[in-house]
Amino acid sequence: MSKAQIFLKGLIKENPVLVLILGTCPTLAVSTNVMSALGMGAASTIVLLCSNIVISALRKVIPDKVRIPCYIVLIAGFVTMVQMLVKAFAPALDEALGIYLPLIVVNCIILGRAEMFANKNTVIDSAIDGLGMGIGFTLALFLMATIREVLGSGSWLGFSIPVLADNNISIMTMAPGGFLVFGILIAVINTVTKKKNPKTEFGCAGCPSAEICGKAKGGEVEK
Amino acid sequence: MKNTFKDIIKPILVLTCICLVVTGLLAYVNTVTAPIIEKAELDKSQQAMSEVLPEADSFTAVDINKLSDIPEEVSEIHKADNGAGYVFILITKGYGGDMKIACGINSDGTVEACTTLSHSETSGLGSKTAEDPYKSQYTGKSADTLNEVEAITGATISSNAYMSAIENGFKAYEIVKEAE
Repeated sequence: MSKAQIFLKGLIKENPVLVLILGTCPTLAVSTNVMSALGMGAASTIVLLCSNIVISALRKVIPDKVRIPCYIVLIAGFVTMVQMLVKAFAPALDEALGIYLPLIVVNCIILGRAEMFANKNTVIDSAIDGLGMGIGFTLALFLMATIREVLGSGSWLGFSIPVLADNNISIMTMAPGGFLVFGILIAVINTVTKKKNPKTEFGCAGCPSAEICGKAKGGEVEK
Repeated sequence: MKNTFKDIIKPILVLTCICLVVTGLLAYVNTVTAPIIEKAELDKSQQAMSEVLPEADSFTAVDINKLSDIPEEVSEIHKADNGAGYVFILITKGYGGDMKIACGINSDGTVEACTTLSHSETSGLGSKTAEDPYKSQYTGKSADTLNEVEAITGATISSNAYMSAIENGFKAYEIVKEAE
């Protein structure tokens, strides 16, 4: 895979939110307005980039047995640093993201990329992968937040839109609206990428990450 | 014996080293950011106090330990030196955690203004308690007319928590006024 391919796959083909279906919780939670979505996307991208680089650099040092605790310590460390920096230099963003900022630690995208990509690829490839996935996450959040904010609050990036502001559909800013937009976007992406029912079998081979994982064949995990 | 090192000692060593390095980095970042965060919070609470009671020129903290029956939710009381009223710092349990609210009550016993200092409410729902038009509803309300404030749709717990905090502010107001 070329460097450009590694970068581009995160945007649409293997978009972490809409194709890999990772990080659903923060996606549904912070996509109520565009500003928090962008902030969340940027914070996650930074953490993803840093954790991918460090985990890839340490991939030969970290023993297989304790790899998950090692990843978690590294990721939690980066998240806490980002949180302290955001609190100190961008307090408004910290307020907008609230509890979801520290919760980046348990965002599946970050641990998922560490486990699926960074621990078996070079530092540069992992950095590109982290950046691509991070931007893919941000784009997906941005798209969802745009739909939800425009329809739900009648504004975009805080600027109110004339007619819509008086006729807002407030369910769009709540959890059911989030699920609705999420489902529609997944359907759109699947149609655009012309995937004909990607999950032919309920097993490992049906997983969108089967290709990178390399352990899946015919629905079973290859030992 | 060879495997003991590879299987047991090495994982422990690597994990310990990683934890130590990460802890060290965190400690460093914390020493850099902690003073900035603290200063920002202090500025914010000073600013919030003059925002909720604009007529006051300066404040003196009231020792709440000397007063009896002060509700638990009241964490600080600041008296305006020119007698414009009091600012109550209230900590209440919201939907996502503690909500810290500053409420200015003037000498007539009505709310001058309220503002949220910190909260962990759901972004876009409970977080609206910190914004207009919700918080400005409290302006001009007295202890008797407080129930006219309309709650936020989809954020009942946050709204109730906010309301109960202000109620406790009024209770503390009566107590602190009587004590003088």
